[in-house]
Amino acid sequence: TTPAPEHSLENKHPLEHGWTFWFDNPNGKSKQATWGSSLRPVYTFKTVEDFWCLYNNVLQPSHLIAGADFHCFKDGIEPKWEDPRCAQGGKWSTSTPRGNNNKATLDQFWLHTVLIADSNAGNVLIAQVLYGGRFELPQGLRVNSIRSQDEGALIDMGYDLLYFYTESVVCLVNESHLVLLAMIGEQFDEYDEVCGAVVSVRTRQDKIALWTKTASNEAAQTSIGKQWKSVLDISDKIGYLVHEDARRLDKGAKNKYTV
Amino acid sequence: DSPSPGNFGIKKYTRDFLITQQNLNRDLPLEFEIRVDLSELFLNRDSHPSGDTL
Repeated sequence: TTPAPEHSLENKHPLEHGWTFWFDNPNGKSKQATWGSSLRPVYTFKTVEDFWCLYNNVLQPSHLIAGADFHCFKDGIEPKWEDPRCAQGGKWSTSTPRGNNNKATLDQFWLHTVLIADSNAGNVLIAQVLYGGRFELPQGLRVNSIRSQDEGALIDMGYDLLYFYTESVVCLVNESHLVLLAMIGEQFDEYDEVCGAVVSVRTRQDKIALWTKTASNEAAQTSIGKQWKSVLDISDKIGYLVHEDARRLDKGAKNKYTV
Repeated sequence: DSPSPGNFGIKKYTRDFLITQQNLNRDLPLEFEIRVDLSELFLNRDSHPSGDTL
C-alpha cells in the first residue's frame, strides 16, 4: 500500500494565492513606445519554496539598471491601471535616494514588502517565537477575545487549539512554542486589498509602491499604509495616490491619504 | 479526513519563518527556462538546472 502524501504540493508550504513576478525594462524602446509594451511575466509561484527558488536567482533591485521595474502581483492581476482589479485602486509609495549606502535599504525594503504580500496577511509585522509554555503579551497590547472556531485550520498549520485574537495581535499557540504575530489593523480581510508591489529603479531616486484595490476605502488603505511603514521601519510620511487621479492629472495628482 | 487547503482560513507565515526558508531553496524551479528577453534579470549561475538556456 502506498501511504497518502501528508500534504499536497509535495510538502511545500502553500500560499493563499499564486503570485507573479513581472519585469519591465523599457531600455532600448523608444520613448514613444506604449507604456507596458515591454512588461512581461517572469514566473508564478504558489509556495514559499518556489518564491525563494526564483528570488534567489534574480538580481536584487539595487543591481538592476536604471529604468527597470520589478513587480510582484497576485496571480491574475496585471500590474497596470487598466486591470479591473486595479482600476479603482491606488498605491502607497516610498522612495530611497540613490547611493551606495542605500542599496541595501532598497533591497531590504523590496524583500520585506514582498514578504508581507506573500504572507497574504498584508499585516504580519513582527514574528517572535518563544519556546516554552509561558506567554507574555508585549507591553501595551491586550487580549480582546479568544476564539477557537478555526481549530481545524490551526491544527493543519501545526498549531494547537488556542487562537487569541485582539485588535492588534494574533497569537497562535502550540504545545511547544508560541508564535506571536503582531498585527496592526482592525480587520483580517485587508489582505484582499493588496494587489501587488513594484520596485522602480531610477537614476536619482528608487521607489517602491504597494498597490491596493479600493482607493475609496480610507480605513483599509490607511491601515495598510501604517502596517507597511511599520514593516519597513520608516517614520517619514508616505502618501497614497489614486490611480485615476494619476491618470487624469499626471504629475499634478495629489495624495489622497498620508500616514 | 485531512483538511484540504480550501478549508483553511488565511494562510499566514511569519516573516521569520519565510526568511528561514531562503537558504533551503536556492535552485531555480526545475522546469524554469530563462527566456532571452529576461536574461538580464538573472544572476549567472553555473548550477542552473537547464544551463543551456543561459
